[in-house]
Amino acid sequence: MTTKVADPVIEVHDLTVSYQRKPALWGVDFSLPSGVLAGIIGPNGAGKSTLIKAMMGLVSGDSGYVRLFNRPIDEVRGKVAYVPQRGTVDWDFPASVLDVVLMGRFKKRRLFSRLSKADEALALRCLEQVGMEGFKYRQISQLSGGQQQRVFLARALAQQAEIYLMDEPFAGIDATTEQTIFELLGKLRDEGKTILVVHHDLQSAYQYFDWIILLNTQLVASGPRSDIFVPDYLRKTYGGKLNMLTSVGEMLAEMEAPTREK
Amino acid sequence: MVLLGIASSTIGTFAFLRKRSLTGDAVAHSVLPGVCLAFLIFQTRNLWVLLGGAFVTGWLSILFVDLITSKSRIKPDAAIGIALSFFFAIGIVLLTYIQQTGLPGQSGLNNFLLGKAAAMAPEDIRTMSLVSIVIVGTVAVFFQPFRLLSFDPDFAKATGMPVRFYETLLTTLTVLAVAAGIQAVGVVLMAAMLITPPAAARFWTNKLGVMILLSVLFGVAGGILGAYVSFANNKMPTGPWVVTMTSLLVVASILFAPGKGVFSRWWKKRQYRNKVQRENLLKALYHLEEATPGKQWFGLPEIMEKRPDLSDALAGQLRQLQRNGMIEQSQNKYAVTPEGMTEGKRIVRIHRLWEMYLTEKMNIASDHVHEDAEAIEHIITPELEERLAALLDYPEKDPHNKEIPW
Repeated sequence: MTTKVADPVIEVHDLTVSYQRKPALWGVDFSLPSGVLAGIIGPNGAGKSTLIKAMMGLVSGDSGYVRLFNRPIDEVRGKVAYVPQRGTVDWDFPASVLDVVLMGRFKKRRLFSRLSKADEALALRCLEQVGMEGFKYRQISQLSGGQQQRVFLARALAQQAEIYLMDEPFAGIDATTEQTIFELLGKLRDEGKTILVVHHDLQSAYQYFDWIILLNTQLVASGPRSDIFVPDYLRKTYGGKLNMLTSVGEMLAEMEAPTREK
Repeated sequence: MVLLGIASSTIGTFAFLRKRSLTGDAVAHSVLPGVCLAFLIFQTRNLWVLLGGAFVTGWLSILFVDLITSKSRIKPDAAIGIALSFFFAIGIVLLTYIQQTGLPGQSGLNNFLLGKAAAMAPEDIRTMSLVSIVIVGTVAVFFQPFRLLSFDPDFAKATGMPVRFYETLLTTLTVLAVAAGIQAVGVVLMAAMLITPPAAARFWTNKLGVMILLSVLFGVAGGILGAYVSFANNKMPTGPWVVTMTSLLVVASILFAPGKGVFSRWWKKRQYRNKVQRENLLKALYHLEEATPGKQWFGLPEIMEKRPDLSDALAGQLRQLQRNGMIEQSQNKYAVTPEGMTEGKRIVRIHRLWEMYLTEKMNIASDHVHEDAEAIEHIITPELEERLAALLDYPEKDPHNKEIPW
């Protein structure tokens, strides 16, 4: 079931993405209204991260498209913040916490100019919001997993965007911090921002998100929380195997020739 | 040589941080056929022409690696190995061919293999200087985007930064640095000029800017030393000496860098072990006093009985405690001073508080807590101790019904 939105900020249309011809996402189609805190929920290997990456234009789709503010991502990047998975970078990189947060202030047009005092003040405020202000000069290699995650969040906050796309921001974070950060995201939502979070825990998902997208390669359901959290959909997402799809996917992976004309 | 050290170490830092060091090696070996082809086609030893040839095949090797990895199942490490040996083999074939042609000016070409700083003409040095300045200047201008790209390429792309452009720029600068260095260091070992200085520098700092400066310093030092040996002894090629020097700097950094070095870690471990042994000895003396009220002076056998594991080091540890004013000695007997009593009391207190904490708050059986407390008693700071005591509401007795001394 997919709840259609009249005037969507985010629109994903019939998106198919494959790695070496094996589809990771298959005909995913949904839209989001503005000012929601939405969660993408699904089992391991369901394509949750791929969906976020495809929305950011970091992986390209076989078919379908993504529109943010009714535009292709490349035209609105300044209004979209991104939190990649913590494990995608080398935390032994020689940089301080503040250095990393300031990366969120990087703008194309200000290539040559140095970062201003205002940028730094903003970065510090963002660190405060995630409770990491005491760590600003700390080397990133000395942070715990949860702290690394919060630094990434602060960097996204420093981007001062309208849409936030976050890939597993709660992995490795303790329950107290998780709650603090969810409250922070709730505040952003109340300011009218749209937040889309890849999340793994069903229980906290129900507690905090007001919009849920259930994903298992296909879109199972997308809509307001209460419409989506019904046993039938959850079973479809987690329990019942998508047998047909898996078999065809494996067959595609074994094919020697491209299966699409382009 | 100095300029080369600066240029290659600067750009090498980014290659190192992006884990592309081996790509630099592939490029270095792949410039040889370019140099030879340029010489064959234009029949000149003008450095600009040879650099041009080097640049072209250097870039070709990178495209070759990309092509193999994207179009086949071969992984990058193998693809780099294939490109490196393939291009280098062609280079050697061409070089041998050139040497047989007897073309004028061919005699110096084999210097490109292992480098010969002494064989460089003044205009070669001018060319190299210019290339080096271009490299350092570009890095200075694009420092921020290069750093972002090296740390988190996905995020860089997400912000709308032209990632492809910067990646190409970084690769081009790497190829340039290699091409500029082959005359002085030689294609075989040029990659070391990219890799070794940043590898050594990484041990000494956690700041990227400082790391680049240190890397430059190491590169220049290695370059000067290597060039000096090669100048002093005309038969010696420059490259191997330069690389020997920079590699020694890497080894020295691994061993002696503060904090991350092997020696520093060994020293810290040793210091800590000594501290633990001293504190345990003091604790043993405190226990002796506790067990026999009124008695103050203890002989070696009594102490040894309490600390059998220390028997070899006991004399040294006792001397150390004496020097710290924790105990005093008279004839062959030892007594704890008031300072020593305070310190011993503190350690015993933490030990018993921790046992208390484990049994009360963590629900661990009281006969399972001693080992843990033995380790924790040496770690806990006064602030943590205060918090621990407050948490347990300043107890009088530990789980084994021993008094907690305040």
